[in-house]
Amino acid sequence: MDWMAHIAFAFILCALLALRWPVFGGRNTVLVMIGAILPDIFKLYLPLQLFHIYAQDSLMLFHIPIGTLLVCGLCALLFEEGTRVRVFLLFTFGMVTHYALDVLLIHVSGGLMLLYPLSWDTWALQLVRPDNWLGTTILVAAAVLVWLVLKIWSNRRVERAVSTNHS
Amino acid sequence: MRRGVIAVALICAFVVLAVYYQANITQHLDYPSEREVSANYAQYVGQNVTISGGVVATGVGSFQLKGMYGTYTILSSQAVQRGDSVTLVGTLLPGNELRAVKLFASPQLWGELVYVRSFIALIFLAVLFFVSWRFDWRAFVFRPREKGRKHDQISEQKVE
Repeated sequence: MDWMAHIAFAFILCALLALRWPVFGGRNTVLVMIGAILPDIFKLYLPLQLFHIYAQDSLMLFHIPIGTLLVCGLCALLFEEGTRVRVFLLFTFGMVTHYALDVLLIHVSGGLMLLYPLSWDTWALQLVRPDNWLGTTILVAAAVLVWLVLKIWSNRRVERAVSTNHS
Repeated sequence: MRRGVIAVALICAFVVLAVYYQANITQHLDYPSEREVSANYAQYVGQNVTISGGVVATGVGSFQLKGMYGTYTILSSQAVQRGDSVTLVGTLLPGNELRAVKLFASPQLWGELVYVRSFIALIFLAVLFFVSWRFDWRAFVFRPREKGRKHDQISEQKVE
């Protein structure tokens, strides 16, 4: 699935969760969105193929939860001390949204190796084509709609609070 | 210092797991991949294998697929166009031929649009990130950008 779908899905979840848990809102939303594309670092194998370097197996660990968790940990180290655990958990949440979407994809053989190194089993629900554009369009449209509704809602709340203070 | 130690430990764990994966994945695949087939073609003749690549030529009841290690003739009635990306499971025949059992074809345009959408998303995400976060080169960490900091400083100067 393309990155637009992944970041739109992560945004929708964060926007809705932030209504109850503010930690998902504001500048933290973008951290979840980054976490949502971290597993796809493995797709670096595609440009490498142009130079006849076939690194798909070498880079596959990026697209396996245990590998992505290690990458989330490394990325979290690039943030201020005291915020790292929270940043790590936000990246991890983004990662979970990535695998939640990718498990829907059609695979001719295999699927997502979610439990490596404990198990080599693969999972795939075989529901969505990897090059599907309709799913991306729906997710992006939903993300824009959620953003607009929440923007209007928060503006009204501010206006109401201001008018209450004046009266 | 502590941060460096944790980073090294995480990188080491990643490398160990990646090496273990690469060393053992071939034993756990549903079907042998093109890498194994190209290393010992005769061993896999008559078995189901999986190959991915781009369609380079089409014919009646078959097409030519360029994989990572060679070009194969795929016997299949499924309609594909030149340039399409194809992943298939098929029975390996002598002479770089496969009889397709399961096949997934992605039109070239659809495949290219995935990259276009992903590139746009990457630019959008980078902008969004640097609007909220800045990199402090001295401490080598990302810090939250303070909203309206310059504006606040100007206001304070005016008050003074």
